[in-house]
Amino acid sequence: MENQIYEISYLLLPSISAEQISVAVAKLKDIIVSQNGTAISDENPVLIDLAYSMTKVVGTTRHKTDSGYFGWVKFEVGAEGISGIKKALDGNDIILRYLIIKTVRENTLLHGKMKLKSEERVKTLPTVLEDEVIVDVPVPEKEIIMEDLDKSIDDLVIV
Amino acid sequence: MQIRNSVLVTRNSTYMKQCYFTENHIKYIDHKDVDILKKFLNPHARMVSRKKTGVTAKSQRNLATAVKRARFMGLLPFVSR
Repeated sequence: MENQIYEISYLLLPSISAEQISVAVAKLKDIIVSQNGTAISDENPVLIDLAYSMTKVVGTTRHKTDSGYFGWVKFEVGAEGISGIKKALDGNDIILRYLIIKTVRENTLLHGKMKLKSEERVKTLPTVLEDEVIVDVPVPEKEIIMEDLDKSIDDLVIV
Repeated sequence: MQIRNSVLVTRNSTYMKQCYFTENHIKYIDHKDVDILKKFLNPHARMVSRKKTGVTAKSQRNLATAVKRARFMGLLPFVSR
């Protein structure tokens, strides 16, 4: 069976230490490798403010949080392997929430690299107009008549 | 006043509203791209209709999926204000 590209986005509890974060990421990658998967790309977890508060029940304690370490990993694995990964994630106590999606191998994040075409158009439009104005405005050229010129010179010359 | 989905006719001018995703060659809408998704939400954090944004039907479906995923992961709110 052909492999499929998956992506796991995850939120880690904010109460964990920096060391635990790196351990958790390494553990997640180990799980992927153990299911015959290969990691394609990833982003290390960063602390973010959540849009709403979430709760995670671990044993008898209920963690309510407004922030979390958000990270993701993109990998390739067979259809059988993803269920094993899901089971492993379910049993992980420091993962607040996770999401497994099917995706594509190419980079899908834009992160402001792309410029809006319409914005570019708005920016370039005034300069184009200015150029056109400069080019299109006809400059009236006066024909110089030699006789008039002589007359004016004669007027200026004091005899 | 709107004549067709992608053509807006105002009193003085007629102009084409183009799909943001088609225009920028975005084939896959990522739920982690919160800044892009926020362009298509109103102050109540609800999705704006494609009648107003000019997004194609296909992109609107993908956008809806991305917004729902972002909401689940706490990147976007379900409700606001």
